Amino acid sequence: MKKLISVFIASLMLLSLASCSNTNNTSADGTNTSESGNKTLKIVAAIGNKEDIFKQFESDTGIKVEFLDISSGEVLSRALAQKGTPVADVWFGGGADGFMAAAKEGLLESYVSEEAKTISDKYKDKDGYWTGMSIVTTGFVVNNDVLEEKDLPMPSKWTDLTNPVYKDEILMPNPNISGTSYCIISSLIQEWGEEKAWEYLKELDKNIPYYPQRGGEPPQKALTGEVAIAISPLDGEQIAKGEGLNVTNVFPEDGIPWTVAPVAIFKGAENMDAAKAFVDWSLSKTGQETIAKFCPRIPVREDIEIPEVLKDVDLDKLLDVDMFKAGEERDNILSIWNEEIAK
Amino acid sequence: MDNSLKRVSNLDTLISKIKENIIFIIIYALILLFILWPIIAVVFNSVYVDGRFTLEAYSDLTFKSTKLLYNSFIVAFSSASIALIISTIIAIYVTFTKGHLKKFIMIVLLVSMISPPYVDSLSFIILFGKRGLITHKLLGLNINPYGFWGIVIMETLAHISRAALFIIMAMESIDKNIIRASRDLGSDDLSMLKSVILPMSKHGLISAFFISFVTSLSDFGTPIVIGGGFNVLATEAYLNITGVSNIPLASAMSIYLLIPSLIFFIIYRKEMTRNQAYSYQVANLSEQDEEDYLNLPMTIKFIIKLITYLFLLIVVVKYLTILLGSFASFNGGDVSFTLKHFEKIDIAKLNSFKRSIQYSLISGIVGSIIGLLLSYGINRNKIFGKNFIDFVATLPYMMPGTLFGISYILAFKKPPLLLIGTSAIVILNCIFKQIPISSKAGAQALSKINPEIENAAKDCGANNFHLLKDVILPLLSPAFITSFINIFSGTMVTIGALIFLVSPGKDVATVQLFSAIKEGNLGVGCILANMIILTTIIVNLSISALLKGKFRRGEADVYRD
Repeated sequence: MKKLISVFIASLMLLSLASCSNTNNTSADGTNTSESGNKTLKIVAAIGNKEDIFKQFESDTGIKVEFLDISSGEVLSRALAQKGTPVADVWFGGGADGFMAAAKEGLLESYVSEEAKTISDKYKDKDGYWTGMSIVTTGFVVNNDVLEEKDLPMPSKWTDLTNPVYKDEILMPNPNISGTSYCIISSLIQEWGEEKAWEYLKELDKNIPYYPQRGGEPPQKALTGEVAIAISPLDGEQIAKGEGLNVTNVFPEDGIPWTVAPVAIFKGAENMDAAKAFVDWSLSKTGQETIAKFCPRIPVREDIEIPEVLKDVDLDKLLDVDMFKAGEERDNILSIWNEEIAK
Repeated sequence: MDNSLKRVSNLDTLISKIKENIIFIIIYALILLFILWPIIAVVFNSVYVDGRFTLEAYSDLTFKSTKLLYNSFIVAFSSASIALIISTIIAIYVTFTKGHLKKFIMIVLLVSMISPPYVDSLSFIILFGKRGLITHKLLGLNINPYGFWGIVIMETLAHISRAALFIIMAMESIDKNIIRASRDLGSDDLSMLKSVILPMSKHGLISAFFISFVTSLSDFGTPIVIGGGFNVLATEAYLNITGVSNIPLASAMSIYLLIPSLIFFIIYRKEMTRNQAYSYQVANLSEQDEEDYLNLPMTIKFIIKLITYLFLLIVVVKYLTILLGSFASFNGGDVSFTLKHFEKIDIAKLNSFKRSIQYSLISGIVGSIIGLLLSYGINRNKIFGKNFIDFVATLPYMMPGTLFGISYILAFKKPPLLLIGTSAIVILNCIFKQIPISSKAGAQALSKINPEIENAAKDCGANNFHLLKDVILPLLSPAFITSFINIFSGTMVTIGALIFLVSPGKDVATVQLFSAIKEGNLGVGCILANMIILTTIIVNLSISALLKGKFRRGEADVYRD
């Protein structure tokens, strides 16, 4: 039986060795960072190609970044649960609703970057708790093969989608969990007025078999041809996913709902200076160009060129909506939606 | 008056009792601290909102939640039942028939316990979805796999391997002399199966069903991916955390979800404590004889074979898809070979992978030891409150993983219990998340060990510590292996809870996997999945080979003495 014990001890030693090598690693990292005189900036992020964006930031500023890929709903839950201890230093990308809720709960640090001055008030919090860093446009991802096979017309407007020929061929995420879906609903309400918008949503509902619980599911199913049309965020990342596939990305002619992906600093961030440096960088011309390069979206700054893949988007078609009003009305609109449309 | 005969004071008895049971007292304390306390913190958080007491979250559990609870129950009951039947059949094939491929089946069972998240459901959709390579491209069908049956099928597949390993363990520990005896008494092999083998494997069957049932109740991932419009309560609780950040309502739902688990737990406890014939063989020493195989009627033999092979086929296809997924690029429905996904495997991903292995190793070893000691304490040691402790120790499997993660934040965010942001909180969460499985494996193995062996050891002067070290733990060695493999594999693929506990720059392989999937990079996801699968296989095989060798020799020692 001593052998049994010795196996345990041996394995435990192995483990401690393994963890030793781990501590060695971190201390090596530690010496690295102390040499350059900076601490490691911790970021929670939900944006495409973040590795490349952070690498550019590291080489521009010399500040080392460690990040965690996590959805904004999860960040908000985590921040609410550990109130008092910040989740990280910086929160980068994700749905604006999460940032608004976090600001309301007092989880964010107010910081108005010099660089934010050139950014329109439409895209940022008036108290400086968060600043939009890119504009997320929405539209349809359409699978041409399915259209052809089922002999369906190509949709070009929101109002096309209520055509009964599309029955069970359209997916849209549940707005309770998807910021994009909610943004579309509230934008249509602001644009068309309550009566017409709800009427439309009820008609649209007849063509939607169910509302998926993951935002990524509809476009994914449209790409693989499981449905014909997905209502989805339509940015460079989404367009890149469809490359090489027989897919059309449609920006609706009767108006493009949009929201912003913000950046914010957590209250009590350990590396406040580095966090502020990151926000400055991400809103600066260099930062904006880097973001536009790796995660192409419509930039919030007017002095930045629109990325190549989005060149065809008619900016006049972006709906003139008030994001903050949408945020205030959220509970109200969702309760109507849950009552009248959810199944 | 005889002064030399002093009475022992009550205090001394108490102290010696504590001394005697110190190990169990520590284990119980750990269970209370790392399972009960976080759950209390969650409940407290759900009734004490914004500084005042309220039952609002519970009154929000409307008719809709009850409907969802019903859905959860039906899914869990169906998938656990089907899994029980199929895994019993596989166990019979492996233990009692002369079939081929047994080693291969055992390997397949061990491998299929390693089910990296998302990738398996996605490969299922690639193969059998509305545009699946098999259903649509090959067979020209246009079937809809989403909904109730999609969930039941995927969950059944997920349960089978673990359930089968439990039942195989139970069947292998049946004293083969009993089989010979009943044959000598003129029993035919089919009725022997019905009236001897199955009843004697009862504890294995019950544990297998119970674990499948509660895992299925708390599973939110499968219904999200494959449920279509069909919702269950665990998914709703998950969405209340990740979607709208309503933690009180999510807590209330998870507590509601405990009701069916509690009912089944009571049944389970009752059955497990009922007396059963103990095997008089200490352990399975002799190699299996030809004689011990069952001679069943042709048709039944055929059905057993068919179902076993069908299961093998499905598992092999699934893992081949994940394997090939690393080299495939899907373009317009055409599949072509590529190596481009490998370029994306960078240092960050490799480091996260290393962290996964470390966490899983520590959890596997520490969790198994705690779990087995716990099962001994609960099932043999007459300490008060053991049913309660057993229930507490089963809770982590009964609630959605996400909430178990949140509960650790709520419980360990303030001194003296400040653990947020450390690696310790991640490891502790992994260990205690998997405690139910190792304590159930231990309980089941214990049910086969005759308590008279312990009495004999005590008569020979062994104290509790030596009894544990020299008698019980060695006899539980098969359970240790089962438990280690379960915990290690479980921790390697876990994600639900960890996303709330890992710090930036300190994530694990599954987080990287999920983020690759989110970016639509199925190929990178598949590579990470394959790395997880391969490492887990290697570690599991070497640990069981290592321990088996050690234990074999150990058993021989016991016998020589």
